[in-house]
Amino acid sequence: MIESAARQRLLESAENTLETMFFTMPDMVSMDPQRPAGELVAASLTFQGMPPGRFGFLVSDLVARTLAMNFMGCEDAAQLNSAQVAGVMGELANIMCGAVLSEMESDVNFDLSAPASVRVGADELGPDFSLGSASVCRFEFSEGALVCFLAFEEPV
Amino acid sequence: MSFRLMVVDDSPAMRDFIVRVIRLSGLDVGLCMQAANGQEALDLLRANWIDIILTDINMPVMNGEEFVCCMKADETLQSIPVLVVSTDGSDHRIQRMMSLGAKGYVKKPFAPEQLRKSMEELLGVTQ
Repeated sequence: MIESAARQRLLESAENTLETMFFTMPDMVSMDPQRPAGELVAASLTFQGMPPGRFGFLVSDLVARTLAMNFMGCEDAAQLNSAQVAGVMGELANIMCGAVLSEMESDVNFDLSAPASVRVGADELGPDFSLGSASVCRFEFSEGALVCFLAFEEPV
Repeated sequence: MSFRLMVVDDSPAMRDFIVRVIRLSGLDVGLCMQAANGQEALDLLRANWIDIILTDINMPVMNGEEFVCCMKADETLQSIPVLVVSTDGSDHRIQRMMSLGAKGYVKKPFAPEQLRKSMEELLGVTQ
């Protein structure tokens, strides 16, 4: 499958996930891979399939909190701790990656690793998910951005 | 009559989400039990009557495939309908789970109304 098709599937699956289970619509969508400003949460996982690869995203801390609040039905950000936000971001990575792989590899099995999520300080280096010709989609919100990366180990 | 359900998923956040959207959907739900894997679910099922089970596939200790197989091998549990709720929406996986005995399959991400509709079908609820 050509890279543009992979990017399109990533965009559609990620947007659908945000809308249906996180009750959020982005203000703008692009392919800008630039890291969001400020404090971040980074979530990632790997997958085995045909072919194997990895998925990850960087999300502004405020956006991560809003997404976690929506997912958990929580009305007060003060009720959420960092571990809960990280846990929900892991779920978001799991759902987004599963959705895009289901679209791209509907006739084969794939296995997702357990998602990992970490906080990244504004001045910290953080993980670089853009390595290896990753497909990128970026969602802009009033509070920051969410940038998703999907890369396969072999050309698609 | 309120339905009694069980949600089986290793993510507490996902379990809570599923229970919340089911309650918000207006389906008449009473008891909502939760289990983190298939083994925990089997232990709870031996002491509690449940009308419908929603289960993930990829879980530690006992995954969704093993869980459905164990249920189908148990005379007291085999009649309880199982709805799979999973990120894995591949045709192969869906066919596999249905062949093992699952009665329905909902792919994540799902809209709350999708989940309600699938549950109503399995519970025989008419609109």
